[in-house]
Amino acid sequence: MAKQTNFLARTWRDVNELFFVRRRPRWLGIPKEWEQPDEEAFEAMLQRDDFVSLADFPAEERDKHPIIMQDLADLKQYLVPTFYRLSQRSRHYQNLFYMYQWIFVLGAFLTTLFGTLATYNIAGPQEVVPTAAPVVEATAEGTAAAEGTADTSADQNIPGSTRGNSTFWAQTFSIFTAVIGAFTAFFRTLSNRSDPQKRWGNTRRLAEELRMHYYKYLSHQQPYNSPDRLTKLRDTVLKVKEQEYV
Amino acid sequence: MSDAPPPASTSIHTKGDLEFLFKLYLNKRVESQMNFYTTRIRENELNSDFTFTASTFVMTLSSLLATISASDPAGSLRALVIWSAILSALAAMLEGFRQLYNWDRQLAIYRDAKLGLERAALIIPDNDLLDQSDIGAVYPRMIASTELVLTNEVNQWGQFLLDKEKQNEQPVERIQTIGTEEQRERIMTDSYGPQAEQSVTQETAAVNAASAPPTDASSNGTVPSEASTEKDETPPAAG
Repeated sequence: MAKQTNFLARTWRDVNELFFVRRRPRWLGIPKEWEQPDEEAFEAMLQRDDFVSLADFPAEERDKHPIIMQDLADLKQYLVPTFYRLSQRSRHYQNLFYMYQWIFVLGAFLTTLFGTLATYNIAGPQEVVPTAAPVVEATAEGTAAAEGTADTSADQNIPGSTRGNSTFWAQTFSIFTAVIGAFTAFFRTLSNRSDPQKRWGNTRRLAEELRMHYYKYLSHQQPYNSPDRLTKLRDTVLKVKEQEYV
Repeated sequence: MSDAPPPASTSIHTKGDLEFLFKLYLNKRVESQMNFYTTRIRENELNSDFTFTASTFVMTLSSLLATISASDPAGSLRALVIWSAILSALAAMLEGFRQLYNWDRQLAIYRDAKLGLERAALIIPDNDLLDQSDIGAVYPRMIASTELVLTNEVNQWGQFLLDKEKQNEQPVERIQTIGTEEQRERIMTDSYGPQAEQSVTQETAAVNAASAPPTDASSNGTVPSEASTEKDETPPAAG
């Protein structure tokens, strides 16, 4: 019983890690701009994103490390907001990129699916006719073959008949195919216009570069080991901001 | 990143500050990043295996149905043809997702980065020796080598995206990334100086020489050394 439970738990965990569960895009999108939350939520964000937050400092420790506290205040003022702004944009473009790609992949699948169904409904009844024809002849007791042909073509307009249903579904699936094709083409144009993949890569790289500077500044590593370190930090942040639009 | 070992911090941090920062860096940067890589490696492996298995199964089923349908002369199983076509489309869709996410490529990037971090963490003294160690000397080196690994990982990731973009036949700007071997040498140099790099190079050469099978001169068929089987500086095109 315990083994079965373990197996089920493991399977459930694995299923939750599959891409169509964990990495599926948010169809309603992710906001492009970051809005700074209130202080408590901001501290929680810092903690979650592996920055140093007040939660890392027990109250009695804060007075023991005045330099670190000052550095953290500088970083929080000048670097962290830019990091979150870039990170938010990165998430926005990442989601946009995957959303478009999912639309293309699903669009290709649905186009094939509906195209196949349309073809089946167009081709299907034509192959059924020869087997139905003898029945028509038998009941009509040897009437002309042309009459059978006329009956079959007339069936196309009779709701509820096999031929009529097939034509209806063939038309319906063809329309679906065309609509999906148009829908996909529309999103292809949008994708080419906004170029989300390049922007996602660029903003993520810049955000991670800021994270590196965060720890270098906190540790007083080069280039932040001189008296004008704060100026250098502000200059770095500015340069990173400029690179976003290069 | 310079090849010379980074200078010790000239900061005004007290010993207590340095110890505190050292622990914070270990926890927030090294360990959390290591956990991140571990999680991602597992996820990418899972997805890679799943899509491969599923698409293979679906394609096999599709072929089977098509064969059964074709072998029925009366045509009563004709509907199976449509299932065969749908399953083929499904397999193509899975392949599409496989190319989109390119799990195998991501897996290689994260695995290399994790190994790089583990290598960088060699600088960190053992817990038993931590109290006797000069944190002021270890800490800057640890930061230099760790950040080198992380920067390279981000650049590789950027390169991965640019390569995907290249598939769309758009001009791309090459991002400079370094191979695992070079990364290792840089870490060793940053941490222990040029002598360490030299000894590592010699050691690697000795290991490669010892592990290489006899050369078949007629076919010139030597097995590539570790260095030459390392990930290329230019990652393969996605998909």
